[in-house]
Amino acid sequence: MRDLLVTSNLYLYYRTMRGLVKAVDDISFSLHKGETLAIIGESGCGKSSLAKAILRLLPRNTGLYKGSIFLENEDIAKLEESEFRKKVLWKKIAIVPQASMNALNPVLKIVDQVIEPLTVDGEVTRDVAEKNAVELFKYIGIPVEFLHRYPFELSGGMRQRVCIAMALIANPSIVILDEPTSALDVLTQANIMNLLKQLKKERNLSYIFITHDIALSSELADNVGVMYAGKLVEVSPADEFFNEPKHPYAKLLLSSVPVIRKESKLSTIPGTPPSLINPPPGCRFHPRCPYAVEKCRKEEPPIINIGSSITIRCWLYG
Amino acid sequence: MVQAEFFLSKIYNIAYYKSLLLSIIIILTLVSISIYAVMSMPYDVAVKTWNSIEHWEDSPRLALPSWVNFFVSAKLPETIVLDSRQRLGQIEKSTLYIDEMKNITFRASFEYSYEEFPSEIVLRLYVYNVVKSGVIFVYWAKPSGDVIELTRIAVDRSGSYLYYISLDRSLVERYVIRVESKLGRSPDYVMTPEIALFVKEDESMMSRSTVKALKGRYIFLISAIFFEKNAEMDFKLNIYGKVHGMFGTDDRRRDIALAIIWGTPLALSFGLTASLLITFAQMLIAAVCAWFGGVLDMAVQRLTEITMIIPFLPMLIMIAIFYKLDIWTLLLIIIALYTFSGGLKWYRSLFLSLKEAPYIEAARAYGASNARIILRYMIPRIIPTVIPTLVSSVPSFVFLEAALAILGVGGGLKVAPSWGRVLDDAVSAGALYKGYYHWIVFPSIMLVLTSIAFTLLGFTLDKVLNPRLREV
Repeated sequence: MRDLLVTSNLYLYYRTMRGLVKAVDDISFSLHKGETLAIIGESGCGKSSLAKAILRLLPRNTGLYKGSIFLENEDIAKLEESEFRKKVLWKKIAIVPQASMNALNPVLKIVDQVIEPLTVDGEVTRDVAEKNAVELFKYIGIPVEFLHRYPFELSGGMRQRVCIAMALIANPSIVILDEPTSALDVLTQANIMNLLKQLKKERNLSYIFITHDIALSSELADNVGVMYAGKLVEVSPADEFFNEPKHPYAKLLLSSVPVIRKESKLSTIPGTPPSLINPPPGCRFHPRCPYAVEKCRKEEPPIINIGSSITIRCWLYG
Repeated sequence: MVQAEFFLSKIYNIAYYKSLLLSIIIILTLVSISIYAVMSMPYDVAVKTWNSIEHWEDSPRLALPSWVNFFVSAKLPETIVLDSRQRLGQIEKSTLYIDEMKNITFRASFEYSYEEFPSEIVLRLYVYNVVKSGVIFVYWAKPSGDVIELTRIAVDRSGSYLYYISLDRSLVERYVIRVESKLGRSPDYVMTPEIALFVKEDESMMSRSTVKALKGRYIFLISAIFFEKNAEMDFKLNIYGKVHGMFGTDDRRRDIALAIIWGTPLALSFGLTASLLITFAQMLIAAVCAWFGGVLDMAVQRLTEITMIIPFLPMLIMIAIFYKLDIWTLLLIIIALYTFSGGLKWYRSLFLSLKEAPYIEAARAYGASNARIILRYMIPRIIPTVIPTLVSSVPSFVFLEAALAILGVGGGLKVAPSWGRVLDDAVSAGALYKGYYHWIVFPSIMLVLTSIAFTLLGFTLDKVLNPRLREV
């Protein structure tokens, strides 16, 4: 398997009145063709910012944005804005946005909305785009007559499917799923997950699956990345991760997930997530880490490789 | 099909409100009046007609509407015109040649069936092919057989001669002497030529409260002697009544109906143009400011605050008087000034919250350009809340036009026949003080009707389109 997407030393800081928010801080990972990388972590740890950084959807108060993103060995971070928009956005990397219940323009009909990514540049005619949309809807299993309805006439699950269809309309090879099922009930969630699995298999898609639902991530993930306070603290293959996570934070995170058949007390991680403006020195997790040693408080752990497939930022393995 | 149902339900929603029905009826009426006005008379012709004097020669001054006669017992007279050129009325012409002299006689007669007196009587004489002199005798015969010699007019050239019978004091003096010798005493009020020519000669004429006009066939005689064989002559006698048309006339004999009818398209176009352009300009500028922010936003906001602090009407009057602008140039200034007002801030605040919406973020993700986001994502979103405001703001501009007209702003010599203009004329002629209510009431009714219609429409649209006001 060759690497489809490689990011190295990616930074995205936001400017605020109180200082720089280090939302994405020196993140490196790679994604293979047809593979799913699940990014898990608490709320506010920078997961969505990572998605924004990859897609270059920078807000106005961006303080620092640097790093390289290699897509098929081309550094897309170096592309001109217009070229990036024309070549990469949606054509190569698409996103199913967070809160996709509200991600549809309420005054556009579904059909106009779904073909927007194709027609914004005026490269594809409306007729062709509409034909694509009809095919895609049939493929995904959305009734074709929904194309001529408005978003408010659709249920949450259907709107989610529409968002997925919209992400797929330009045939991207990577889809970023930003908490795609967060607002849905469990049955609809299961349906959407099955749809995503099917799409992955049939279209050989690569996903970056951003979620805080660890159980859900196990459904889809090939690799799991754990984010903590803007840092990617562990990336492991899913099998190994769910059997035996390496990083102390990942361990505590997994033990806080309830297991249905075992009678066990649910553990929590003491303390609160650190401020991203003034993160703790050294390892950012050390104030809450039960294994913390003196070194953790002073020096930031580097990226450490364990075996061929696990990378980790923790002094315990250094 | 789903759409059709959706649309039907909307229409049902709208029909649910009775006030809407009323407003739509009024607006449709106003629109059809406007279409009629524009079809029957182009704008420049309307302005020219309204400001001409000749065009209104045959209508009475300050006449009431004709339909007043349905409500009064003593009918008010209509205008009677005798015109030898157009053969209006019963006119016999006879010509006589004696040596080098030529005698032309007109014998005109008309039926007068009112107890009220006419408002004015004017005779116009048109003499052709005369270089030497001539003399014209004018006589008046009542149905009772009494003959009054009105005047003698000496002519010495071709042209038109005006004999303003209503201003002929000597006629009244001669007549009073005659009445005195006939009835033994003179009336206790100041007679006018109209009364003298039409009065019923008995005891009732002695007091102003009982004096009545004599009904019957009157004869009007003009006899002219010229010393040229080819001399010719025509005349026009106007016996102006006291009622005219649907809406009466003003002090320049102009039919107020013209201003009522042509004022409608003027008011609608002024109000609609102003509110449409202002609303869309505000929306566009607000969207651009909210979306791009930065220096542009800063500049526009400060400009808006400045124009919000400067009082609008005095500023407008000052500009209009300094630069002597007509009403359409003034409209542009109003639009420019009004665009940078509170509305802009309101729209900007709507857009500021809207631009953070997830679907806008999504649109950025698939590469929608700034213009596309503003025009296709942001502006359509607030249109439902904007339409009621737009509609309700129409009357304020219609009234603004009237207010400017009353303040005498935005005129020039050639003024358009707008409702505000009529009110301006009425106010400066002291119409309310002198009791010419028709002059004030009809344009005011039109203004009020227009504003009621648009206000009701705006309120109802607000109820239908604004989810917070929707009735269950």
